[in-house]
Amino acid sequence: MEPRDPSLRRRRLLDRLGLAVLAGLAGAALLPLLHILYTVAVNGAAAIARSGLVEFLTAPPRPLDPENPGGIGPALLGSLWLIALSAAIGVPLAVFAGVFIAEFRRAGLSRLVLLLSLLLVEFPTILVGLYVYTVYVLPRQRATGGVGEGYSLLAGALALALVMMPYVAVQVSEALRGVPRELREAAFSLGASRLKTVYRVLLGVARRGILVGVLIGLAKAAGETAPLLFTIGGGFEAYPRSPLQHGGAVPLLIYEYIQQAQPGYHQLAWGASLVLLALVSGIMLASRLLVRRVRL
Amino acid sequence: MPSEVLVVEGLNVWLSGKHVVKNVSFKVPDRTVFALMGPSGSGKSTLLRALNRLLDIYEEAEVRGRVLLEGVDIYSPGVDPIWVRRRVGMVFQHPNPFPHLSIYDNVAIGPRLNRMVKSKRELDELVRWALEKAYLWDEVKDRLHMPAAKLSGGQKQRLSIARALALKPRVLLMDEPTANLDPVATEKIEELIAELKREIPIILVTHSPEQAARVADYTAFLYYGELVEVGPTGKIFTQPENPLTERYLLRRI
Amino acid sequence: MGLRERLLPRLRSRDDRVFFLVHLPVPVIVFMLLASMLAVILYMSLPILEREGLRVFTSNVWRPSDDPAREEYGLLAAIYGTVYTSVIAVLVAAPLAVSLAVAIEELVPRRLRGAVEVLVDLMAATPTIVYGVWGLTYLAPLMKTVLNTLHEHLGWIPFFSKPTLTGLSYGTAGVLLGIMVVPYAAAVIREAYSMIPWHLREAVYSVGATRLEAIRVLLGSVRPSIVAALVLAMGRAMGETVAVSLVIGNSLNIDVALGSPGTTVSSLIASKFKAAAYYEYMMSALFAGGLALFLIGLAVNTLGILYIRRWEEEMHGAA
Repeated sequence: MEPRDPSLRRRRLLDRLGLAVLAGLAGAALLPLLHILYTVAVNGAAAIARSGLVEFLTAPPRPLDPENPGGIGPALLGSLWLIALSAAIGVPLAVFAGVFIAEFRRAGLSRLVLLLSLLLVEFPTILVGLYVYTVYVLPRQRATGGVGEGYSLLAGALALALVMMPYVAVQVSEALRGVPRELREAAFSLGASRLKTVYRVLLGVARRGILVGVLIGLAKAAGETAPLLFTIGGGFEAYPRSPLQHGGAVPLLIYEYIQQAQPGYHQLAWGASLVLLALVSGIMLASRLLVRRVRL
Repeated sequence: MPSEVLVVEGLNVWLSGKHVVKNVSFKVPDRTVFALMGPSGSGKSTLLRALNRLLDIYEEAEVRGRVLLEGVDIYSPGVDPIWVRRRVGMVFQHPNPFPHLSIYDNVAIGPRLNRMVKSKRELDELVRWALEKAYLWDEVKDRLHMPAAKLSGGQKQRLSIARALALKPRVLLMDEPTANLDPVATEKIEELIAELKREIPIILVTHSPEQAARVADYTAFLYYGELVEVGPTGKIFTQPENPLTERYLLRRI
Repeated sequence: MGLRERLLPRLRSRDDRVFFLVHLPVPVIVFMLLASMLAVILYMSLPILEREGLRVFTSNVWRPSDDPAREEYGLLAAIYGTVYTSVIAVLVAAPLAVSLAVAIEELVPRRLRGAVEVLVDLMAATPTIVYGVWGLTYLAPLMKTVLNTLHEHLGWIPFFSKPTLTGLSYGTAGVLLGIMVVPYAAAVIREAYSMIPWHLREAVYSVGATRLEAIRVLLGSVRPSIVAALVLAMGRAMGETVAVSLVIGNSLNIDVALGSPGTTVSSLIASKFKAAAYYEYMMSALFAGGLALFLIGLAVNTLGILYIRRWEEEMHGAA
């Protein structure tokens, strides 16, 4: 009877070693993100400092001007248009779909819609871009004639709405399903119609979860690049005056500028990356304050 | 050589600061069934988990006091909890073989982890021995490599017992092993307990006084973390010294 | 129970029927959306499929021409690149994601858990274009050093048989994708790991397992979720566009050497799209690429689901 079992020493050593490797790998998983945050902050801040924050956010780019490189104003305006329009199109439809999924959760049809929505969430976003190009941009191009016509911020917003909708719908349905049964029963015992009960009362009860779903959906839309490649047409110098015109967006500007040779473009791209990352992480942190656990 | 395999002296447990086992002492003689009974929430299961240092896996748990396993205090600084656990077998309230492992692997997991055998043949023999001891061998000998998830509830619980026995433990802890079983499976487990106690002592947590009366040689009554009364089962049930015990047995509390 | 009863909700009153009818557009729209997406991609690929047949998927050639009769396109290199980079991504992501998930559940002290969770959430929310910019600027030069060193010393291994001039390569794209999909895979694994019943955890420790041994056994019990996580990760990796197209070198090249440049279906679409409008068949070829991308994704997901089904049947099916 020896409490210090010698064969245990090897296992204890192996245990410590294995846990150290595990912790090391977990750290390695986070390391790239930390480096990304650091480099985007440093490079982005340097780029923004050259023109000043307000100038950087509002002025058009002058990538070849060493004195004053300007900013990303037109692209940022394009992005704001895109976010606002895609939210206006996507969010109501997503809530509508989320209600359907949650309220008829036992019916096969609702489970099928949920399954298809999950399928759509995983649909490559570049294919969504190709789809909107075919059904919306191409017909307009044929109507006006000429290659390069037909692109518009609205087309981009349609594509982003398609990217965002299934995700938000699933989130809304989960938020509704999370409403405690007693509250549900209480809402229905008020005697209003089911439509009123669900839209006036239950959506209110689940508002935090729904808001978080919508916020993250918007963050996703704001950061997407691929669906915009074939829809918005680009143009980072002129401010878009109407959503029916072609325009730029911050992610697309980054994508185009980082591929240019001159460093002036790269600096603008880094500055734009910082703006984009700040926007997205701001939304993330806001939703984290609303609920404890976020599902992506 | 002391006839008590396990001696508990002044044992206290706190969970997240809440005092749930209060200064409990008792002795478990060899080859007996020792029942810990009490209403739910009385701290029986927590007390049981202090006897194989299973509480160590919970950050919020704090243990004070002595638990002597064959004379060795399992809470003294030099003792490794793994050394303790491989000498103290445990069976749970929920029949819980590892669902993704085969019947064979479920029994073999303890000996394998603890490097108890040197050859495949030795392991085969140990697995067979444990399954026979747990009254399960005849039912599963032709399908040892089937996943354990396919067994019935009673079979699963006997497999959990075999898993614990394969470690050749010095004590067997059972945490309400029949709480999730039907009466037929329960009877079979109780028969098994009566058989097993001829070789090792068993500490049985139960919320049913009837079960304690049926299978236990000694019974301790635990109420809100305090050991109200302990003694030979016959005496506890016929002449309880503490009025609380009497009220519990009469189903008044 | 008939199909109708299983499919449709039970409507017990007029109010319920109104509610259902108001929401009927939802399934209709969702079906039509998905169906029209597939139809559009298929329809747009028809010209090249009619012209070249399945050769468009099995040959490696990209020959635009002002004379439509001389145009020829083959997607093999892009399809190869899509599969190759996403396999590398999964191989890179799997150990990282499993470790990250287990570390958050088992090793990170409770008061630090929130901070790590925020980091993981942020990692998933960071726009892919930002990963691309970082990959192009920092990861590619690093990978260049790593791959060239490996080539120097282990050049006889086919994977390291070629040096890289720029760092823009299959290897870099695969590693970048791996980094990008870690948070998604980790989230799925973590969810499953945290759902393991506590009595099972107690059982592992009760037979004398060390921490590491317990983790190994418990991970075994959530194997289907790990597979599901990796399938999800592979799907995301295959669909990713801009980050990959910035670091893969965009060349039609079929090679196992990690140092050689290549392309993927989505980066091919992204890089050739602008020019495609000037040719008769190129656009159609790009849509055929989209079709291939969809089919590969479907195949990977189907294999994943079949594996999980089989596992569940083995576990819980009839004895």
